[in-house]
Amino acid sequence: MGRSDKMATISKPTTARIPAARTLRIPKGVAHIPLYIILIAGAILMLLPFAWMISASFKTLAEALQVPPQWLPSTLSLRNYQEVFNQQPLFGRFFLNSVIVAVVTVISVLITSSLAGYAFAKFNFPGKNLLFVFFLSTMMIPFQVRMVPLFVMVSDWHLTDTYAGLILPGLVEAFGIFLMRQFITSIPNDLIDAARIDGASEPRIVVQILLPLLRPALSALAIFTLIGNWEAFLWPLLITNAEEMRTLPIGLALFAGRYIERVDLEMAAATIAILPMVVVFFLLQKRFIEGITLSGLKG
Amino acid sequence: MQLSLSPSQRRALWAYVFLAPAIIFFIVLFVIPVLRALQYSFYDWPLGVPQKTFIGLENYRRLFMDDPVFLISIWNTIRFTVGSLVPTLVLALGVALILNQGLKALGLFRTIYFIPVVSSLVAVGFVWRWLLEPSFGIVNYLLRLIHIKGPGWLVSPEWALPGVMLMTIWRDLGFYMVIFLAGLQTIPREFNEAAMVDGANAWQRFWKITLPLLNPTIVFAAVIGVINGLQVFTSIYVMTGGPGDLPGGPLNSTRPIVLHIVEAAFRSQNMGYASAAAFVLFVMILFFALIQIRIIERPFEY
Amino acid sequence: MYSRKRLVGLLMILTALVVLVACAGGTAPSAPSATTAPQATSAPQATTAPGATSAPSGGAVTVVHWQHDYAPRKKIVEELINDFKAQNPNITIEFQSIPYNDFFQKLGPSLEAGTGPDVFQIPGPLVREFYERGQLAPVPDSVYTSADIEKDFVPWTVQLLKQDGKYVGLPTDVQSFMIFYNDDLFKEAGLDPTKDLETYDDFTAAAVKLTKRDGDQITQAGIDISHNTYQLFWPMISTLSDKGIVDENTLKVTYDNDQGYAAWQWLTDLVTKHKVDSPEFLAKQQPFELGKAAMDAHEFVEAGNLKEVAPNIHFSVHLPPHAPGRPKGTGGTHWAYVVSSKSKNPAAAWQWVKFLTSDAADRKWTAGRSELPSRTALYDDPQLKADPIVAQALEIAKVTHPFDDFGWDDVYNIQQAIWDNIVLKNQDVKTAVHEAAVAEEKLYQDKKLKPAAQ
Repeated sequence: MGRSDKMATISKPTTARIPAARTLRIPKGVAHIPLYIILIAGAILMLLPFAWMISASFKTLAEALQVPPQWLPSTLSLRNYQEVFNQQPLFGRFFLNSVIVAVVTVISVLITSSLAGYAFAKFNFPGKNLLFVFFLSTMMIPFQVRMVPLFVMVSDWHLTDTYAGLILPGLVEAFGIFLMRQFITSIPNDLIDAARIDGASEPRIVVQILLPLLRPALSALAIFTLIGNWEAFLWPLLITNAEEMRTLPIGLALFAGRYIERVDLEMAAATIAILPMVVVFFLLQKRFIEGITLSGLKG
Repeated sequence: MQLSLSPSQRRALWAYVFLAPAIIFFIVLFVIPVLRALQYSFYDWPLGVPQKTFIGLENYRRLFMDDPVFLISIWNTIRFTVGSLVPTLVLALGVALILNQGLKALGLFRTIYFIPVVSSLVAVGFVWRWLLEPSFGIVNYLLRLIHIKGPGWLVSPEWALPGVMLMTIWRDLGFYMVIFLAGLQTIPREFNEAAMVDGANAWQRFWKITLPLLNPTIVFAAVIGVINGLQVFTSIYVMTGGPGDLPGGPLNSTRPIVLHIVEAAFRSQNMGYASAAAFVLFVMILFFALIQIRIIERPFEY
Repeated sequence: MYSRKRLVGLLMILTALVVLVACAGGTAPSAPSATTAPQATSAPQATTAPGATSAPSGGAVTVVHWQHDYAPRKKIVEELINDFKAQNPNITIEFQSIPYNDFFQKLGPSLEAGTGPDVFQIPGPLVREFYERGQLAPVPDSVYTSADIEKDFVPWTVQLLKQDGKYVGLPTDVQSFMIFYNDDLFKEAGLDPTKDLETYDDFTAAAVKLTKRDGDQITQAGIDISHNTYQLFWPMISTLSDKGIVDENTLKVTYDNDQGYAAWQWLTDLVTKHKVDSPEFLAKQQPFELGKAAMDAHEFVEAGNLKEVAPNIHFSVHLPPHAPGRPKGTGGTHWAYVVSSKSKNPAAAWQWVKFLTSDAADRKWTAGRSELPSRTALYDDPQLKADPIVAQALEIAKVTHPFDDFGWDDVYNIQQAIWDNIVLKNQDVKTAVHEAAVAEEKLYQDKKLKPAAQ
């Protein structure tokens, strides 16, 4: 796993800038049309189910189950959205809980993953490979198996129905460590070596050199962590007894019953649940477009 | 007082400092519970009951010798992983490459492709059950337009798993697209620029520069994909389950390993048996992941 | 340079951070852990000796109750909690509503951690395995004697709840399987929707008449049978033998014989031979609710669902046909409220359960057409009978036999395979049924069920 360090021998040592890759120079208009067509076709496929979902969120249950399916609801009433809150008066609180847990978790994961990923990517130390395999293997045990012993442990610590209990298992993600390791691997070693020669301390290297370079990766990781967290269902279900500590996915699951699925309410609740994620993604992914700009760094 | 360490030793120590929080975390919240689960696997251990009987390797023996459904679930899980991951990665890479071209409304497109990833699986499952409905659903409707008789999808033992795969590809594409986008962004621009100056066309640039440099990202995506794929549960559960329906059907054709684990653990309350199945899965995943890293991860050549 | 102090300091800070995060109390106070009752007189282990379980005098007791979430039932439970509190001020009920599909995933770990509920629900057929695992506390005589239980409740709803001579559960969510006829479609086909179709042949003939096709494609199913087939095969096998589906002593099934093969042949012929329905017609949807099927086998609760989901459909409920030589009847399922053997207050818990299944409560449960009464007294209740559908359903409930397999989704899987193998894979009936019988009997061996000691 130290093989990728060969990247240090690239040509063009004079520049240390690593801007975003751009590859097109031929007349943009012409070359882009087929691309747009593909993209738009794909986009329609991606959005089709949501069109139905949103439309169903305005229908009555009977309407939503119509065959053949009607795409346009007969009325645009918000009654389902109101009913979601009627049946689950704490829905807003579920939302808030999910937000709190998500934010704390993301911050923790970004920090721990960057540090650990850096260690794996750019350092040599005894037990490195073994430790990496160990971290990797933590992703390989299905949660359902760890769940019971973990739950017993955390209950014994009296963390049931607390934010700490909700957040605890998510604080460190091997996924994030792996992701960061891969990205940091691609960063040329001379950047770091140069800084070390200049006498910078390791924490300083992390903050001043690594972090700016890692913005796309950090954004990506933030998004992934957010998703995983937003959807987390089993653990919050276990660790919360009090209704006001529950999270959003539990709220959603309450609409899928045993004999009957309240599809109309399910769709309304699902639409509510998805909005923040879409907004966050839209905002964060601008960082990808900005790319990495490293003004002022010398090779 | 100064430590007399060599620079490389100092750096090694820093590595450990950076790794410390993760190590502590994993030991407390992973190793200990997992060891306990391993312990469970050697017992006949109903949950909540004081009597637990040691039975050695009996659970493992039963899994392989006495439980054909378990073996079926292994096969299903592998089929599912390969069948959904490969198309997803290929398509995601394609989309990422296109979106990296500096087109207009990129932000919008990226968001659109990503929305399926963040949507509630419960809701998505419901919609897709409809899409795949054999007599009225859109998928078969479109197939009918090109004179193909669509299969029974979720009610057919042969086509149920492919149906779930379709939904999974649709859903996960955005996820891997984001990974590939980030990976593409870290490729220094001047490599491609230099190649263009040297007269290489887009195809050559892709194969000789982009793809190799994307290698760490591809390895990452593939390994994560396999780890997640082999643990599939909720997607299959929501697509094949539903009021009155049994997940994993029809005829166990979509039953994944984790469903077996969950049912043993929480329905039959046979935590020992479930833990044994989980460890079999763990070994499988470890094996596949390590092989992948070995095979796919390549040194760079210049 | 790197001084030892700096490194040690750094390590300490990191460790402190981790510890802090691990132990940080959240902004919400921890909910009090269940069942902390200083003066309760309860035995902590499985079977409680009769003398020790009198209700505690003075001293507050908390009983934790877990229920599947279902909005109408949630409301009823909340009402009942208030009523109960008025009558029993020293017992507080802590109520938690859990998503149905995930109920067992929450129950198991909680029982293991000792933070589980005092009172929860399980399907009647699962009572035996829970009891034999030592997870249930029986009803103390001081709260409800066996004689009274047998007097108050409809026999088929408590049959499965007697283990080792004691009752370990009280019934709830009583459902008989019945055939729903779409009255309009019946009349359209020249059939009389007020009469039961009693024999297999009559039923098949009617179903054929009620099926409409457009070329090869079904446009109206005579009966929606390929979706949730269990709703017809459970009552079918429940009524083949007086012993039910499984002999509780030998743990052998009663359908692995000519009568069983004939029944399954009839059932599968509906689709394979007479084509009154197809698995691909509105797969995983509800054709009856869409007006695209003339008949549907369903639990009684569908009568309530139809009001909400398909208010325009005029329907009536009927007994399913019976096998030749067998009396009229149908099968039914029910759940049981049970008390955990880990409960610290089993007497109080059973008091609550008794209340939950009392006459007054039963009236509330059965009000919205969501379930049938478990108490004999309500079968003559004029208020209930005022609703014609309920009146029909009550008659059906009187000839109901419990679905008495000792399992739930696990036996469902095995039996569903009979249908799937025959219909989807063209396996012959005898082989399919026999394989299932073998599998079901093996399941009981794997569960290590002990023959009943009656």
